[in-house]
Amino acid sequence: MRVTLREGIRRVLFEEMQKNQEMIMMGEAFYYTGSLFSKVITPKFHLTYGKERILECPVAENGIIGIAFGAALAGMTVVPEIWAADFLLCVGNEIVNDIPKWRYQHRYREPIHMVIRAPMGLFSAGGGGPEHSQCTEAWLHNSPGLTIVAPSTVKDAMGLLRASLKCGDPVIFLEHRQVYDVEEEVEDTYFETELGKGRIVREGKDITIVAWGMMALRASGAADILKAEGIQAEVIDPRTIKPMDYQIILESVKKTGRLLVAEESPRTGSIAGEIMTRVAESGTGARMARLTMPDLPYHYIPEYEASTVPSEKEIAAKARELLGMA
Amino acid sequence: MTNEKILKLYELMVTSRLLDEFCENEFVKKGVNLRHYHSGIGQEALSVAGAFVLRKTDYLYYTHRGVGSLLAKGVSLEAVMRDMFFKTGGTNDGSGSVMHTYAPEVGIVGRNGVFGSRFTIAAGLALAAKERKTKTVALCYYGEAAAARGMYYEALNMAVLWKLPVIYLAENNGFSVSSRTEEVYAPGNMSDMWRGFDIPVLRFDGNDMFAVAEAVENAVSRAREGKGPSVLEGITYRISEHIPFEDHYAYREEAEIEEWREKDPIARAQKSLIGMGIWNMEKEEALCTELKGRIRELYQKVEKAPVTDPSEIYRKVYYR
Repeated sequence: MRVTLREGIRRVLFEEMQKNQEMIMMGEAFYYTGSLFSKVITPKFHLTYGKERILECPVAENGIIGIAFGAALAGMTVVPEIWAADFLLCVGNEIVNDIPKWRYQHRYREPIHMVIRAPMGLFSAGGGGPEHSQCTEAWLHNSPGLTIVAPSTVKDAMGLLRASLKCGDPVIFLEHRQVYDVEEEVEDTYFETELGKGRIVREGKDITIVAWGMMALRASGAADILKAEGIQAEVIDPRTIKPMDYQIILESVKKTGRLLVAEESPRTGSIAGEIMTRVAESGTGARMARLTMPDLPYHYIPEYEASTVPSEKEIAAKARELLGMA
Repeated sequence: MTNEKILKLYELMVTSRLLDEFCENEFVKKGVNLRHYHSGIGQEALSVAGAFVLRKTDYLYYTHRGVGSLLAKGVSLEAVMRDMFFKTGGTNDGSGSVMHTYAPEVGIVGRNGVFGSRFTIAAGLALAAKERKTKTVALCYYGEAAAARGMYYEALNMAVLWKLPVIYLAENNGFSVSSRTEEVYAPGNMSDMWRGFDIPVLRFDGNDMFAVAEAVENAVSRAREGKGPSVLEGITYRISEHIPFEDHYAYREEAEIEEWREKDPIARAQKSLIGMGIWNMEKEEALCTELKGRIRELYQKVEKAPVTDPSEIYRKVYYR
């Protein structure tokens, strides 16, 4: 079947709701729109599954996530939606302090089935501005106990969502706004994608480019530009941000000797910095660079906002620079 | 309540008190730092009687202060002491103290560490009970600090909207660390601000175990019938310091503490029980001797138990 990423996620949730009577979903303006960014994913679920299992919530992130967590501790499977990943900070205490540390400080024995979905990143039309466009994985990856997923393909989104619902650990499932409309042919059967395992998007021998979410699409675009120039870039999408699949990155870098990480978030404290540090520590001696947003907020004017996020051309240019071909 | 139950409730209050006295006499007064210890002395009627009226399958969300509610819900004294002294064989393998006692077999899923999220998490437990139509309820104790945070408003709004079977029970012990309750709450108390929700909001004498049991029982019945949440506030007083080695005379006088010792919940319960003809001083002495001996014996056993293995530092971050 040929579906968009939105539709793929919707299908997984719809099927899981059918299979698992102990599963509930909740979110703001949930019955008829859901997050305006994720649009067609959740609307009208309540017409099939009822208002008891599909909960229309006030704009109250502490309420939504805390209640979702309590229900998950009682053994239910809970999928709350946060309108925009930026708003995860409204509930930062629960997401960073309470939820990921619960198992550790109680020696908690039961699985906790909770997947927090949140749209993130640059708007399609642009101009979301400083507080509605941000990618949030870098804020959260310093929290042991969390699992963070950020898919860039329909197949990965579906497989990783199924795995997230079953894994027994709380998952932050970040859906990039610019990949919602990606359309793809996927198998019409049940499949899962292992958490914590990256994927080689395309093979190459000259340089490794690591990117996820929207940047994975741009990295592939950059690889096309480079191919026309005879440069074979290997593109890796880690898919899961935490835990990060360093092994697949290291193996690639050992082969290519060069690493470029492209990330949408600001430079300081970026995940790119962590990936490069790990590769440096491994002693490969690879040449490395990262391309991120500068240390700036997003701008409200769409063109200005877009100009701060690395483009395909900029990724290709940075790759040439690393290869000494600039 | 049957006489048998009343006596059991009284015994649990005395157990909680004697464990606190053991901790204060054997550690605090000897200058030994008992990590994460928060004395519940003076608050036993509230902490014990509220949890005591619950069913085993009901959820309890306890606080950091006092262990009375844990004992009343069915966690064994030995498990509580193992947790308290960071020893293995308790409920959390000596890794979380009584701050994070975890006993799902009696409806205790744990406790968060930063004040505030208890209100929503307890509402979530109640939501699960409602989804499953089990008629179980969640009782959420709270103190001055937790309820000053905004999560309470979000939790209560949603709990009322969805008629969740959750009961919020304030332990108004006069203080938020060293702030007076009335200095940090606009109505001067911890419950009046919720009257706008059109739910039962009841304030009562938190040192009267009968008043506590009755108030919680009524709220629990209402919740079981599907009528939604209630807010209760028991007025009590924290006799000991907020934490050991705090100079509590910096913010209160001995005379005030003495005034509240006169209203001691255990002395009052004892008087009632004697008046009812079901208790006397011989029984009192026998009970105290037995419990003191048991606490001492258990401590000797717990003291010898190993702490958790250092390899555990690296385990149990994830389920998978």
